[in-house]
Amino acid sequence: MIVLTLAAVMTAGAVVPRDTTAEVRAGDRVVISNVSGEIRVEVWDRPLLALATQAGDPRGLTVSRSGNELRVHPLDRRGRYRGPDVDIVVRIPSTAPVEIQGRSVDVHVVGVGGGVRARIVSGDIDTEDTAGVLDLSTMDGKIRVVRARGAVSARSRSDDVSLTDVEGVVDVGSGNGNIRLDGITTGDLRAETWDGDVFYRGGLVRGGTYRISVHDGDAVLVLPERSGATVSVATFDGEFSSDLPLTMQGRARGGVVEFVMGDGGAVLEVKAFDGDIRLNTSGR
Amino acid sequence: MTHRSHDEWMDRLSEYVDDGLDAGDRSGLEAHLFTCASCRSVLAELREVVEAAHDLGDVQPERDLWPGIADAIGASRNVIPLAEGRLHPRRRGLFMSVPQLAAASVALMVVSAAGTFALGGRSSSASPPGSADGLATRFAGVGAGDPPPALAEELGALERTLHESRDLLDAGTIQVLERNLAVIERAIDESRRALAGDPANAFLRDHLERAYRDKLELLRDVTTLTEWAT
Amino acid sequence: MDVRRAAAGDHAAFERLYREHVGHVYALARRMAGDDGADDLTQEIFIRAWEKLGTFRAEARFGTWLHRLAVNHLLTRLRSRRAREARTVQGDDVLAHEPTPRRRSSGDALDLDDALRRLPDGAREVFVLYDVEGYRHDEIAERMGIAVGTSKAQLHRARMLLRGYLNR
Repeated sequence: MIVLTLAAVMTAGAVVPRDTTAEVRAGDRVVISNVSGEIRVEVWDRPLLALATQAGDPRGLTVSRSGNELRVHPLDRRGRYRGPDVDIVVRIPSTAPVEIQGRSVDVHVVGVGGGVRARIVSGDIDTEDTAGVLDLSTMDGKIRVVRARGAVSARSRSDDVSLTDVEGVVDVGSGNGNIRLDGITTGDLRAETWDGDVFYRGGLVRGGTYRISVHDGDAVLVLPERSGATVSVATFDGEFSSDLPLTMQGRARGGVVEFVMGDGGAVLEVKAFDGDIRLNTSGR
Repeated sequence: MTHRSHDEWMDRLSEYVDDGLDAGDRSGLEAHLFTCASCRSVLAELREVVEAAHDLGDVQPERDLWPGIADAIGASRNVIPLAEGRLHPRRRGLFMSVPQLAAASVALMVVSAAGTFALGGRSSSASPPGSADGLATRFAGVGAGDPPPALAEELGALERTLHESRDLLDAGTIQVLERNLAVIERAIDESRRALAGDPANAFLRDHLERAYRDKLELLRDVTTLTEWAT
Repeated sequence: MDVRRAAAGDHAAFERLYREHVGHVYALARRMAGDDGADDLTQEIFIRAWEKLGTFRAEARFGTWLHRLAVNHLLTRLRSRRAREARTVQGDDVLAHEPTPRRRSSGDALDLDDALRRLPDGAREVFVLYDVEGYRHDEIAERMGIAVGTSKAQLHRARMLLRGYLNR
C-alpha cells in the first residue's frame, strides 16, 4: 500500500509541470475551482490557456478538459486542495468565458470579454475592462468592477460593492457595505444594501427602471439636470431632498410618495428605511 | 568552444555579464572578445549600466502620500467618498420628511428648479390598509410582521440545515455567516417593530418581506457552502 | 510588532510601516510606470497592503511581502493601462506617446532614472525587475506571462538602449 501511494505521488509530481498550457477551442469555458489564495485571470492573443503558479505548490493544481470546459483545479481526485494558499495567473483568449469558485481567494480579472462568473466565500473580486455578463458574489469581501460592458450582477454579503464606468444592466447588493455606482449607463438598475449607503451617479434612460433600497443608510443620486422620471420615494425614519424640480402626483399611499421629474420617462424608486434620500444634480 | 558571428556574440553579451552562458559559449565569446575591440567596449558599457542599476536607491515621493492612504483606510466602510452627495449642512431645493409628508398626504407642486414649492389645499386621511397595492394581502392572517407560512417553512428548514451543518463549516465561515445573519436579523427586527406601529404602511410591509427573502437567499448560500465542504 | 498591530487595525502602526517602506515602493512604481501615476500607484499599493495584512504570514519579512504585492499590482495595472491605450492609440501614433526624457541640461548625459523613461514598456519592466530588483528570468517570465528567452532578450535590449542613452 505504501509503495502504491508513493508511486501515485511521484506520478502526480512528474506529469504536472510548473507551467501548464492547454488549447482553448472556440466555445470553450474556463472553470477555476477550489483554489485558495490569489487568482489573476488575464487575456492574451494566443488560443491557449496558460497556468502559472507564482507562489505555493505548483504541483497542487492541474488543468483538465471535460467537453467544452477547461478546468483549473486541485489535483486531489475529490477536487479539494489541502495545501497552502497558491498565487496563480491564468492567461486565456479574451473571448473565453470564465467561472471561478473558491473558499478563500482574491480574484482579479482583466480584459475578459466572454463574461465572468465568480462565487467566493471569503475574498475580494476585482474586474477591469470586461465585456459580457459579470455575475460576481462573495460572502465576505469587496467587489470592484471598473469599465464593464454588458450585464453586471454583483453581491457582497458583508462588504462594499463599487462599479465604475459600467454600461449595461446593473443588479448589485450588499448585506453590510456601501454601494457606489459611478459613471453608469443603464436602463435597468437595482441596488440594495441592508447596512450602508448607496451612491449613484449616472443618467436615467427614457423607459428605464431604477430601483434602490437601503435599510440603514443614505441613498444619494447625482443625476443630470434634465432627467425625466416618475419618482417614488419612501423612508421610515429619514428625509428626502432634491435639487431637481419635482411635481408630486396624487396622494401619498402606504408610506410611498410619488413625483414626476421632467418628462417622466424613466421609473425611479428609492426607498430608505432608516436614512435620507437625496437627488442631486450633476449640472449636466 | 562555440563559434558564432560578431552580431551573435554581441547579442550574448548580457548573458555573459550575468554569467548565464554555458561553458562552450563562454569560452567562444571570450575568444571573440580577445580579438574584437567593439565587443569589449560594449561589454564594458553594459557592465556600467548594470552597476548603475544596482546602485539605484529608494526615491521618496515629492508629496506626502500618507493622507490619501489614511483617508482610504481610516474610516472602514465610510471610505467611499459619499461627501459629494451629502447635502448637510447646506440644504437647498426640495426638502421634506417623507413620513410626515405621507401622513399629511398633501399634494405638492414644485415650480422651479431652485425648489420653491407650493402646498396644495387638499388633505385626506391616510390610505386605508391594503389599498396601496397587493402587498397588504401577503401578510393577511399572519401575526404582526411574521413571514407568510410558505416562506416561514423554508426559512425554518434552512435554519435547521445551518444548525446541522455547523460542524462541516470552518470557524471562519461560520463567523462570516453569523455576522451576515445578524445584519439581516436586525433589519427584520427593526422592520417588524416599525410595521407594528403602522400596519397599513405598504412600504414597510414590502421592506420586511424583502428582508425575509434576503435572509432566505443567505441561508440558501449556506446549503451551497455545505455542499462544497463535503 | 508594527505589522501585528497594523493587522489588528492600528492605523498609527501602519503609518510607521508606510514611512519605512514608501521610498522603495515609490521608486519601484516610478521606475516601472513612469512619473505619471506613480503617486496613485503607490497609494493603491499601500491601501491594498492594508486590506491584505490579514493574509501576511509572520514567517515572511514584511518588506518582501509588500514588495511582491507591489510588483503584482504594478504589472496588473500596467497591463491594463496598455490595453486601454492600445484601444485608443493606433499604429505609429504609439511612438508619439513615448515619454520625453527630462534632461538636466542640453548635452548632459542622462542619469539612469531619466534614461529608464525612454525604454519601451516591456524592456523597462524586465530591466527594473532583473537589474534593479534582483528577480530571476524565470520569475519575471512567470509574472509577465512571457517566455524566459523573451525576458533575456528584453533585458539585453534594455541594457543596450540604456548604454546608448547614457553615453549620448
